Amino acid sequence: MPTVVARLSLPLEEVDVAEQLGTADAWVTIVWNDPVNLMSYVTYVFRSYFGYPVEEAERLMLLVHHEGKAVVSTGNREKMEVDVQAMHSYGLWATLQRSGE
Amino acid sequence: MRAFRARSRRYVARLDDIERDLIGQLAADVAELLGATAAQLAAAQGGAGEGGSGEGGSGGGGLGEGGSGDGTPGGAASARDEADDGEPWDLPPLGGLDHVLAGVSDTTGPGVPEDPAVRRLLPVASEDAEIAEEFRRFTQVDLRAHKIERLLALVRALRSGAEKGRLAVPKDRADLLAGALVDIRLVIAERLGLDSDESADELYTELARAERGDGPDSAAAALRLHLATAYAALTWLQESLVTVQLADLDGPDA
Repeated sequence: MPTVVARLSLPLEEVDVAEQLGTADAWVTIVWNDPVNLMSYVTYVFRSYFGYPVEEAERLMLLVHHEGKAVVSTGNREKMEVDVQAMHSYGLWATLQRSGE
Repeated sequence: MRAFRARSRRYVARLDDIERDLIGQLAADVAELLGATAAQLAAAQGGAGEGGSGEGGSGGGGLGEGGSGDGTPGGAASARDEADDGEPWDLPPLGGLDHVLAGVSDTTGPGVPEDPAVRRLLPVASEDAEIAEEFRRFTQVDLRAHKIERLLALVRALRSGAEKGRLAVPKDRADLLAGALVDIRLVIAERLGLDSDESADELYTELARAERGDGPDSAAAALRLHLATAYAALTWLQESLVTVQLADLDGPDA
């Protein structure tokens, strides 16, 4: 695979950076729109669970509302599974997938 | 019904007897849909002898879908039996349950739920079937148990606040109440066929029309109106709860 060759040819410190950034194992949590959850509640969940500031929580909420979905968090798969389960516990519908899929 | 207000350590709403019984019945119905045992339901509802609406099980709310759950006549008294005098919202956190649900059967296990309403409460977690299946296998039993527990906590909280005509929740446990209210609304929405923002709006047009006269002309229409009314009331209650929750995020005791 050319990508492996390319990575092997990278200077060591650059490989480390890539690993530290988690780009080798990047997953996302997506929240989907539904007709039941209130816009205020979705904003509350994004603020209180993820700790997003008001503006960011509202931006993501509006993205869900108007576009039908939004990426609300990124990280490794285990972390995304925790986030998805938390969203389901709040009653929001969320899925996880590999970043960029 | 009066909106939630922030007290020093709690959020408190006021409900009349009819509202309290209705919400309690719906919460019990949804817990049963999720697989709560007869013993768990009876414990939360205060048993047969203690007044209240001891009807138990579904029926009134009409949220069941044909055959009810497994109806296990659980001999093992729920750990909640003695918790009557304690804080109704004192629950273990998600994932911290020692699998309260005895015997993981197909109704309570990690399979894909058959009832579409339950499938919305325990939704698919990935477009990739393999990832979705694995997610259910590792998380569903805990999530289901957690959802049952907080619905039953709502039933207990309604009962313990009955005399004063109120529903109270400690501020730091309010997410449990909010989640229980969402789950009830999700189930009602599925039964009413609310599958888009437009159909949710249409529901309010429908309610307004019903209010202007012409009562329901069939049992099915009466049930639909009953559920639609409950949905609107619960939505209003939820909005009032999230309003005080957001206010506390902005700054406590603002």
